[in-house]
Amino acid sequence: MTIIERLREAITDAGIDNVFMYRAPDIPECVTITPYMSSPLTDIPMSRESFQIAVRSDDCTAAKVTAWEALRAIESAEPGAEFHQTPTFLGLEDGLALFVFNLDVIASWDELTEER
Amino acid sequence: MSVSLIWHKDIEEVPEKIVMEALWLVGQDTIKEAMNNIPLDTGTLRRSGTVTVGALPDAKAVYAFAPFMSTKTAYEGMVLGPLKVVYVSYNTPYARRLHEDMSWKPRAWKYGRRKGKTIRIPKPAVGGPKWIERALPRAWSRLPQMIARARRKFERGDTKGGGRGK
Repeated sequence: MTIIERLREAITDAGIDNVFMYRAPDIPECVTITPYMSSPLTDIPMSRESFQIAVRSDDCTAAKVTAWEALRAIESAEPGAEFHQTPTFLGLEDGLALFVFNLDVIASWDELTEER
Repeated sequence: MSVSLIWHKDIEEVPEKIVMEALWLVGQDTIKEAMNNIPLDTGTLRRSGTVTVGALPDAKAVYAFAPFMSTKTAYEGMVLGPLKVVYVSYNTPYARRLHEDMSWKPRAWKYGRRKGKTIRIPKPAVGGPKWIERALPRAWSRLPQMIARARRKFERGDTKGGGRGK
């Protein structure tokens, strides 16, 4: 199982529906996991993989609650994950509230080979 | 939530004022490194990139100057707060959205005026999200060089200070 699949499983196991990887269909309520950067560590054969979790909903409060639930789900499933920030409101997108947070997961080369 | 602590053994003997100056130089380098990845329309976002020591700058004030001039070194020599932290910030109301929105795509064409005539000029698609994060690893890897540069500045007795105050 790849890292992004692990993150998706952690969120769906918390009871959150409509969790998508890479891109989401045009539906009002969904969670999208997007990998965006990979930084190799200089001294050991490992890498820092960055992901963004975006939650959108037509209800601002529901989006915020879901974003926090997703964060807590990942926090307990991936103890080594480093979060850049707590869920942040980015504004309205076509009338839908958008909350995002970013995190890094340290991966070994074996995991990266599997990922690609 | 985990806490990540990185201990740089090679700089533990370096005096604090030199480290702060070196961090300020790394911040300047980050802005330079990130420049070509920042979404471009009028250039205000690119010019609003600022490095500050101790606290974040007054975003409204920086945004007011950014349409006309680069604010990259606007806070050179100033210490804005007690924290031993150097901040790299982009100070427009839309910077956060553009930095975080992974679905944003740059506009491919722009209408402009040249010699009083409205024309359609081709504009390359430039920029994208996460420009600070993408620039940081490369700028951060130059920390040893920046420490050497900061040390030389102090040895020369250079009175203009970036991160250490005047």
